[in-house]
Parts: sequence; structure tokens; C-alpha cells
Amino acid sequence: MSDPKPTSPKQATSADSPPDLLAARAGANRPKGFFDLPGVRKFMRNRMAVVALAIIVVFFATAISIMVPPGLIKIDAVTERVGLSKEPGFGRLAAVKDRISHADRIVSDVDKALRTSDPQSSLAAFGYAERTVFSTEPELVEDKLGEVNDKFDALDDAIADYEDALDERDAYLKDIDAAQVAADASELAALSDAVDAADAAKLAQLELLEGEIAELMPIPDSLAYKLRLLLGTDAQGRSVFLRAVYSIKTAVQIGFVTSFIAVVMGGLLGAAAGYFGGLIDHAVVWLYSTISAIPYLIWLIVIAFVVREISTPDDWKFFAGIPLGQTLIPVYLAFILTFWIGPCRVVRGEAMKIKSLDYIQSARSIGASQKRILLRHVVPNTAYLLFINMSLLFVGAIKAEVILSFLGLGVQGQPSWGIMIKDAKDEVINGFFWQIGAATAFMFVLVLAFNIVSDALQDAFDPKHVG
Amino acid sequence: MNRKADGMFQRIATFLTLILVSVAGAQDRVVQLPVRTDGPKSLDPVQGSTVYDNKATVQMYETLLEVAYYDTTRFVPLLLEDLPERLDDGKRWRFTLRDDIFFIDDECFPGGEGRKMVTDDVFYSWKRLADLDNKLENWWLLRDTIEGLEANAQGTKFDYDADVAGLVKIDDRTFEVVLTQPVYRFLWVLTMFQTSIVPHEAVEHYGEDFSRNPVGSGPFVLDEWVPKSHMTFDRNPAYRPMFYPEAELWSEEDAALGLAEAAGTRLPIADRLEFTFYIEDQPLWLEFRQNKLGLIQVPSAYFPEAFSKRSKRLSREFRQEGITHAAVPLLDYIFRAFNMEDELVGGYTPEKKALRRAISLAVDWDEFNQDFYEGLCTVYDGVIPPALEGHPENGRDPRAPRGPDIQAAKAALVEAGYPDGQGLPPIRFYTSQGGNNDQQVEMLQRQLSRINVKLDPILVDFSQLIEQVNKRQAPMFSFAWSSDYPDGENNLALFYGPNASPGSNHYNYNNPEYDKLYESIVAMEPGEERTRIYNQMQEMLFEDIPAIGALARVRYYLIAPWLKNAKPNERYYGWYKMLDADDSKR
Amino acid sequence: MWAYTFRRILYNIPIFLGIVLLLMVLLRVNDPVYAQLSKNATEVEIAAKRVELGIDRPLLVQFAEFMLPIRLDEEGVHWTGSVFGFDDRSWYREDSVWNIVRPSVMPSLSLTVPALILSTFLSVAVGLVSAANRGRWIDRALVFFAVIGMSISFLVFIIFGQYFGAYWLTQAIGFELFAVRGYEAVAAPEVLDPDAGLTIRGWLNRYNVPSLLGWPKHCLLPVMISVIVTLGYDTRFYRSVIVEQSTSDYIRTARAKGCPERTVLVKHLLRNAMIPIITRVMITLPFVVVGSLLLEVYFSIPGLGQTLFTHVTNKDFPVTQTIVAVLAIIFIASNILTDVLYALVDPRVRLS
Repeated sequence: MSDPKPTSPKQATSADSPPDLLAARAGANRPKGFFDLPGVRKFMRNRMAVVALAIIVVFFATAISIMVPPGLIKIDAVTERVGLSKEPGFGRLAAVKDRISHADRIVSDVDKALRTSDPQSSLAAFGYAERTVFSTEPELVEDKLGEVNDKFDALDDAIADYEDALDERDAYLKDIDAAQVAADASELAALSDAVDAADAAKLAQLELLEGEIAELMPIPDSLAYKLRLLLGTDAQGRSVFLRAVYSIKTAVQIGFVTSFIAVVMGGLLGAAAGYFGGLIDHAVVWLYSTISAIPYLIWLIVIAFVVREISTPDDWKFFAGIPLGQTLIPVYLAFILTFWIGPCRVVRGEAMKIKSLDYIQSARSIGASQKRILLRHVVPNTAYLLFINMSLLFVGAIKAEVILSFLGLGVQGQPSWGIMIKDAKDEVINGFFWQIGAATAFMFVLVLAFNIVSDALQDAFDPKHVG
Repeated sequence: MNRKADGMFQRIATFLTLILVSVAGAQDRVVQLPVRTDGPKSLDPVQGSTVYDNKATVQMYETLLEVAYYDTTRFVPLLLEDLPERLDDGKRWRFTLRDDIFFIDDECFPGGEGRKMVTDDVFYSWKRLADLDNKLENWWLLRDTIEGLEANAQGTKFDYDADVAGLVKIDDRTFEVVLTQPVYRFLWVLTMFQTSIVPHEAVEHYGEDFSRNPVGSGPFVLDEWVPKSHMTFDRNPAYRPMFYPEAELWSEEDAALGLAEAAGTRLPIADRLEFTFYIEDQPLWLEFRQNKLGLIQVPSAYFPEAFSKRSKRLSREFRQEGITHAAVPLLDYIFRAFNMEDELVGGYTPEKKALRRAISLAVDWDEFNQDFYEGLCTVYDGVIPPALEGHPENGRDPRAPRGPDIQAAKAALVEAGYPDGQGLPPIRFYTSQGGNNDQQVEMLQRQLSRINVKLDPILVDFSQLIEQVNKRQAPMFSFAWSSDYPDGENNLALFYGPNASPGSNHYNYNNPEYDKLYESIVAMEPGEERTRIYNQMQEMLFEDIPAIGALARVRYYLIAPWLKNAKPNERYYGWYKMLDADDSKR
Repeated sequence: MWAYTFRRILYNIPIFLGIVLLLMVLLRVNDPVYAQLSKNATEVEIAAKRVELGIDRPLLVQFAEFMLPIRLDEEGVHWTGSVFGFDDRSWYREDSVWNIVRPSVMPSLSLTVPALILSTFLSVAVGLVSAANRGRWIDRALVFFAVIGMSISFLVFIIFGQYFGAYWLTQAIGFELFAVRGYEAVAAPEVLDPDAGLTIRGWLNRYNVPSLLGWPKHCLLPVMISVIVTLGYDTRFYRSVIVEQSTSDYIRTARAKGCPERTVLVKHLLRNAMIPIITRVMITLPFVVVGSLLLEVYFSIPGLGQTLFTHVTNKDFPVTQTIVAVLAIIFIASNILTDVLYALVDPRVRLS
């Protein structure tokens, strides 16, 4: 079914040194530069792929700048309260109900600070990031709080009026219904007007209250603060934007580590199996057949669960002083142990083919060692496959992380898109889409870029692939 | 006409009807209720432990006493003629069973007919708790309580025929129980579903499958149980004459809600109960909104949808639909604890006490309450949950180290010898995973970082958390205690020296003075003197701070317009027999 | 032919043994005892529990007991010595393994089988359209949509699918087209002929077969969500299969001799593309049994995925081992079937 096609660009070039990524990068025997390779040129012609590649580079750069000390975003910044619970992003107004509870929350938080043993320093220490109380003088704040509470009372009255108006209208409609007579248009209009007026009065009162609140705790004008509230806040008042950005680091870390190790491991095992054959081949095939017989999600769950729960001996529980469960190691292990199979299979098939090619035979005839042939000829020739596989696995890892995190077996102790989706899963019904939206959008962009790039890579380098 | 072919044709026809018609039989009064889990694990009372086991089991089995529907701080007779008679100052109790209790008809009985319940059944059921073959899951309820009732040794069979000194049979309906010491809580234990009365024939007949083939005397019989999906019960047609609580027993507020209207109605009122199991909140909420469920405990994420957070009032939209609500305060004690034997955070020297005080002063329970429980919980000082004797007024006790008070916390930290947190290594903090515990840990870390105290959080499976705590290896951990019975003594016992781990004193708190006071209150009748001692004991805890607390949940329930007679409580679930469905309001 | 089949079976035995052994080792990394005991267990109780669960014995003994119809130990109450532990007691729920597994299979199948059929047909069709218009805007648009579908998490599809498909839609049209959750098994009236022993009702109930009328209401929405998610992957795969076929010589010949385009596509191309299509379906087949965990959790479908997850996370070895062993057998059987089918079609295969 899959005989090598003589028309492929790979075999069209000189026999003992086929063009491929690694060899080319090393500059081995090739006069031309990396960008002159036919595959690379084909890739570069695909404009969408280049844009996608640029996006990936941006994501990687962000991840690295978070990871490398001092770090673009510190973990403390991600866990810090920057606002009230579930504030919408882009400066949009929350639902009326939520606006009231936001105001209420500020009042009770300020009140709590006032009631400590040293109100002055408590007030100074209190705040949502840079958003602090306008003064640290307890008397001044107390006075302001009094004014706010007056407004609150007025608002409560306005709400009661509004509900009364609604009740009146409903009662009228019900009466008409019961009496089976036509509604008196003017009376109904009057009642509806009353409802509208009461509604407007309620909103006006709410705005007055919010005005007072803004004086009590002015919203800072700084760009840094606005940026943090750009995509709203989560249930704990943490910045969704910062968390989504920080999750890039988590995603890239998981994606890169697992796809890299899985590809190296799978590639080596596959090349060895395909090249040496015999017992090694049987062992490797047995291992991957065994693992792939069970849906990979099940292995993921079993492995992640087992590693997270390791109970004995006690020192296993800690990795560099951090509890194992708090590190990404359980996630890495679960992914690597299931992901290496794909590249292994592909490389094994390719290695079997390459083994029978002329230039390998000739290399062997001039007395090159087995190891040399394997590492210098077989592995480099499968490099493009490994690269494509790596980008596929990268995507696989990011998506699988969401599932694992949802099941409580994924990332712990730092934000990730999976954690954000999990945290947000019950907010959707309440019409709060910001957190799940942000996580999905960030993930979407990265995964889409990877999908496009791996397509383009396949187009450019895989002779069998048809675009 | 060929008869064989005719039969064949008929069979195919019936088969087709079977496939096409999914019957939900036109029953008159069906009450649908949610269970927020994948369902019960066992229907055998002695093996039950979870709330879900409880909800299912009590519909079919009964206990001697039950918690009163109209007042959950009291109990009333269920299988008994009357409340038990107190003899010998509470050391001996006399019980009389009702004369009209029958087990349901079942193939395990000779002739398939349910027989009358007798004294021996009661003794048999209690002995099952002590039988090692039943895994001793609930033996703690009766351990060291009844004179001469002991669990069998490893490798031996429990001898059900052997006489137990404390269980004295007088006749088939009357018996006496002799206690090892007058323990006030004994009668409360008899309201708990694990002490339900089962017939020995069923246990013997079904063997291991007894857990799926309930044979009880209760108001309902099991119709169908599909794990992970649903469970249905039908009315027990032969249920003895039992009636809805009389009108004068109900408080005025309850009567105003219409709860007294059904007074005197024969139980059970509903013909059928249907439990559906939910793992995620979203489907649970959506189905309630579609009016398919009688009542739900409001998942906290959906609270702002139905209520005004500020006033805790049901929103107008819901009121218009005829939905009502009920707030059920739980007898909860949610806390963060210290292991008093730990080298870093334990100990009774002034420095160690100061360290714990600093941490306690930095913790802001209110923030937890606001962000994770929508502000629905009660934050309180001390260890005794709201509404019980010994609970401080408004939950505030001036002696308690209540946070957040960062300045005071910092001062305490200086006292402890770690000015501004310098020199203090990270404290290992254990908590169970699941729910939003990961987020709660993050918040705790954030709060403590204000005084530069660092935590090393370890999230483990609940069973492992218990293991670590029992081995006294967790320096600091998160736990919760739900009172077994409405008395502060239950919570004060958590700090009693001899109860140290693996007992319920997980703090390994050891204070001889405290122990002496505790021993004095065990058999004491409720009263002013006892409350004064409760207070005194709590003061010791404020001083030593083995635990940072506390939080008590208040559960909000929404009740669909068609569900009648619902007064939710989480003390017991036998009240489902009181529920009624008014189909005209669906 | 028989010799070939026999060889394939022989070859797959070590794989099957490997799966079960690997799983048993993995599970035993953690001590399951504490999950079984109450809060205040003593050392003696813990040791006794270990004996009772039979995990104090060497792994190979446990392995042998699981695989063979023998019982090597009379003490433990949980291992009955039945093959693959079907009669063992679950450690988590008071029931036998068989009673737990049996009612879970049909609900899973009632989601995955329609989903597999639907998504295969749809994606072959879309792949065909896409390939026929290769390079044109319609092809690009379809491929782009496929990639977009692949780039969003399954979980997000489910959360929004349930909200809009079941709840919002019902509110909007005032009629419950799709239920938010639930599963309706056939509940048949008591009839049927007493001579038959096992009645049809009994059979249907035992296996939790879905009712025909309840199925669209409860299962169609999750099936559609699952189809939408897999459509992206499948479409791309089938498209490239078809494109590959369409560049081959026989198609060119067919076109050259003047066959109408429709005949070329349907008669020549599709028929030849059948082999990779069937292969892919066959590969997916065993995974169909385990169902979709996330869909089952969200839509309360009492399927095998949910069962397996609950029992894994509650350290219930008997149920986990049995389910995995059964899955492995199904996988291997479908593998052998595929191989044999190939061998029947293409005699060259038998020689290699």
C-alpha cells in the first residue's frame, strides 16, 4: 500500500546524503542554506502557515519570558485579587443584580477592615491590587461608608417600588384574564409606564450608589490596572487576562516537554525496532500494541491517577521539595507514556524502508558501524516525520490537559486553560462567559496555529501527503 | 390457522410494542427528587455511610426513633409505642415496639408473606453492627455503649445466639437495654439509619446480594435501581397506619407556609418517589428550572441566579413562578487544624501559641464565605455550631483570635520569634482534593502571604488525608465535622485527650484540665451549669488554638411550586414520606 | 486461511497478557486499603483488610487467578476465581462486577454506535465534496472549518452544546426536543411468555437497552456533539484518502476513456477508497465500547466510560481489571478480524 514513490523529492537528490532538516541545519555536505531546501521553500510559500508560525513564536516567547527569572508575570500576580467577583471584561457593565452585589461586597470589605484592632493600617493594607480606599483615616472612611449606606437604602426602596409596580401591572393583567374582558389600553399603558419609570428610578439610584462607591474606592486610571481587568475577573476576583496569559506558559511547558520526550523516545525505539528487527522489534511492537489496545484516555486517567496518588514510600511524594502532585510530573508522565506510540510506529515503518535502500547498504559495505548508520542515516532521515509528529502531539497534549484538569487529575497549583475551563463550567448558565471564553480563545489560537503549521509541514516535507 | 405461527406472531407484536412504548405508568402522585452523586453504594443499613445511602435506605427501613419533622432538635418514636422509659438514672432504658409492624412480603419469608417485627429483630440488627463480616463501618455508633456487646475477634464468626448482658428481652415487644454508662447520645444514635431494623431471613436468604434486595418495614418499597442513573420507589401498600404530624405541633411560621395543612393524613402521601442521580451541577440546575424536580439544594454557583446576594431574598422572577425557598443551617464545624504534637506548629509554649494565633489572625474566613459559598455560611468563633447551647452570641466571642487582623497577626508573629515571617519554614498543609479545594488552598496561601507565612499545600485523596492525619503526620490540615446530634458536647469531644488520633481528636490536643471538664459534662443534663462549662472549655481552646475556625454552612433549598409539605433538613431523610405532589401546578 | 487466523490469534496472546499485567502493576503502585476502611482503622484491621482483598499475595498469583478459572486462596471473599473476575465483588459498590458492567454497555453503545455511523457517512460525504473541489474555495472553507473544529476543546463543545441545545432551545421553542440529561431504558409492561424462561423484559432491563422513543430525546444531542467534534478529524482524513486515490492511474484511465464524473467518483474512486475507510472504522470500533466519558458525565448516561472512571478513582481493582480485560479482548478480536479480512481480499498479505 505504501511503497516509497520514486518521484519524491527526497530520493531525487544525491544518494548518500538526502536533504533533510537536521542534516541541513548541521550543514553536512550541503552547500545550500536552510531556506533553500525545497521543503522549506514550499513551506514558506504558504502564507497562512507563516502567519501561524509567527503566532507560535509569539506564544513561545511569552512562555519563555514568564518562565525565565525575573519573569514577566509572577505566580503571585496571578493569584492576587484585582477586582470583585466575576466582573465582565472590556469595561462592560455587569447585570444589575451583580452590580448590586459588587457594591455590597465593597461595603462589607471596607467595613471589615474598619473593625480590626488597628483600622488605619488595615485600611492601608486593604485593596484590590491598586484599587484602594480613598483615605486611610478611619473617621473619613466611616463617614463615606455612611453615605454609601444611605444610597443603598434608597436603592432598596427603589427596588421595592419597582417590584410593586410590576406586581400592580401583573395583578391587572390577571384580573382581565379572569374576567375575560379586553384590556383597557390606556390603563395598561399607564401601568406599564409606571413600571418603566420605576425601573429607570432604580437604575438611577444604582448609578448614584456606584458614584459613591467610586469615591470610596476609586478605580485607578493606570494602564497596568486596566489591562488586568481587560478580560474581567473570575469568582475569586483574580484577573482572567493574567491567568490566561500565564497559562500559555503552562501549556507550552506541558506541550513541549511531553511532545519532545515522547518524540525522542518513540523515534529512538521505532528506529531501533525497524532497523535491527528481530527480538528488539518484537519487544517494541509488543509494548506499543499493548498500550494502544486500550483507549488512550483510559491510560491517561490511570497513569495520572496513580502518579498523583503515590502513597509509599514517603520520599516519592516530593520532587525537589515540592509535593509531586503539585508539579507537572504526573501530567508529563501520563502524556509521555501514551504519546510515544505514534512517532514510534511511523518511524519504525520508515526505518524498515530506509534500511533496504541502496545508500544504507553501501554505507554498511564500507564498514560503518551499526550505531553510526542508525544515528547518522536512519534517524536523520525520519526527522521530518518526527517534527510533524511533535507538532501533532503538542496539540494533543494541550487538549488532553483540559480533560485531565476537568477530571481533577491535571495541573495543580498554577493556572492553566483546563483549570480555567473547569472553574468556569458552572458560570456559563449565569451568562458569564468571560473566563471560559478567554481560556478557549487563547487555546484556540495556539492549537489552530499548530494545526495549520503541521498541515503545511506535511505538505512540504511528506511526499505521501496530499494537500 | 397454525397455532404455533399465531403464537410467534403475537410474540413479535408484543416485542414491537415493548420497544416502541416506554411506559412511565400513569401514577397519580409522583415526587421527583435529585441525588447529587452517582447513587448509593449499598442499601444495607449496616454498610451505609454516606448521605446518599441514608436517603435511599430510610425510605425502606425504619429506626426505633426518628427526628421530628416539625422540630429537628427533638426525636419521636417511629417503631416504638412511645419514647423509651428511663430507668436507673439513664443507665437502663425500656423499649416497647408497636404492635402493628410488618416486614414487606418477600420471597425470603416462608410462604412469601412478611412477618411481624419482634424484639429479636432489634437485637439481631444491632448485633450486625458488631459483626466483623459487615466491615465494622458503623460499629463506632454502638462501640462501648451497650453492656457486653463486643465485636468478634479477627478470624472468628460472630455468634448471634450468644446472650448479651445489656440486651434484655422481656417479651416479643418489650425489652431493656443496659448501657455501660449513662450516655446521653444513645437515643440519638437510635435515630440514625445505620441502626435500622432488618429481618434475619432476608440477610440469610440474599447473602451478599442483601445490599440490593431491601426487605424493610418502611413507607416505600424499592421498584428499580439503576446505578448511575436513577432509583424509584413505590408506596408500601401494607404500611401501618402512620400519620402526618398534628397541626398543633407546627410552629407559626411553618403553619403559615402551609406545612400544617396535611395534618393527620395517612403516610406515605406520595405513591411513588423517583430519585435521579447527578454528577454535574449544570444538568441538575437546568432540570430544576424545567420544573422536573421537586426540590434542590442550590449549587453555590447558581445562587446569584435565584437570590439577591445582598438580601438573601428569592428573586422576583422565581417568586412569580411559585417557587419557594428554605434555608437550612447545618450543624457544621469547618476548620483548619494544627497537629499539637508537630515540632513546628504544635506545642504549648507561649511562642508556639503566638505562632498559631498569628496564623489564625491572618485567616479571613469571611472571604472564603463570600467567594466560595456566596456569603451563605455563618462564620463563628469557637467550636459549637449555631443554634446550639454554647454558641457565642452573633457568632462572635471577644476572646477568640478572629481574623483578618493583619497588624495583630504581625505582632503575634514577632512574639513567636519569627518577625515578619523570617526564619519560618513553609508549613505543610494537607487537604483533600476535589470540589473547589484547590482554589480554597490558593486563597489560604494568599491570605497567609500577607504576614509572610508560607504554605506547602498537599492535596490528596480524602482517604489519604485521613491516613496522614491519623498517623499524626500532617502539621496543618483542613477538615470538617458535622455534629452527629444537636449538642455542643459532640464537638467538644473532638478535643478530649483520650480521643487523640486515630480517634476523632485529630489535633492531638492534650489538656488535662480540659479533659476533666469534658468528663464532667458527658452525663450532665442540659442546663445553665453545663453551658457555663462549655464556655469555660472553649476559652481554653481560644487560648491554645488547636484549630482555626470556624464556618457553618447554611444550605439554601428551592422548592418547586408543585411540591407540597416540604421542610428540608439534612438531619434525616425519613421525611420524604410526608411529601406530596400537586400536579395541577406543574 | 485457518492457519493464518490461528497465527494471528497466537500472536495476540502476549499482547493481551501484557495489557492485563501492565494494568495490574499500575494499579498496585498505590495501596488501596485506606480507601476501603473507615476513619479510625487500626493496624490489625488494615492487615486483615489486605488479606481479605487478596492483595497481600504475590502479583503473579493474583494475575493467574484473574486470568484462569481457578481460585488459589480460600480466605479472601472478593476473588471468586471466575475468568476475568466477572463474579468478583466490587470494592466500591456492594455488587458483583458483572452486575456493574452489564447495564453500562448498552448506554455507551447507544451513544457511540450512532455517532460512529453518522460521523463516518457525513465525513466521507464532506471529504468527497472537498476532494472533488480540490483547491477551490469550497474545499478551503471545509478544510478550514475542520481545523477550527479540531482546535476547540471537547469540553467546551459539551458545555455549550448542553446549554444551547437542551436548555435554551427548550425555552425558545417551548417544547422539549432534547432533554438536559438522562437515559431512558425500555420499561416494558409485564407480559411475555412464561415458557421462555428469560423474558424479553428481563433481558432488555438487564442490559439497559434504550427505549426507541426515549433515544432521540436523550441521546441524539450528545451524539450530535460527538459527531461535530469528530467531523473535523475524519473529514481531513477521508479527504486526503480520496485525493490520493483520485491522483492514481486507474482514475486517470477512467476519466480518459470518458466516464462521467459522477461514475468516476462513486463507482471507481469510492470503491477503492473503501479499504482505508473500513480500516479506520475498524480501528475505532473497540473504542466505541468504552463510550465517551465526558458526554456520559454531562448527560447522565450510565455508560461504561463513567463506570470505569468512578471505579478507577475509587481504587476498585476488580471492576477496573475486568473492564480493561474485556476492552482488550474486543480490541484484539477486531484486530484479528481486520487482518483476516485483508487476507481474504489480498492474498499477498498472508505470506508476509
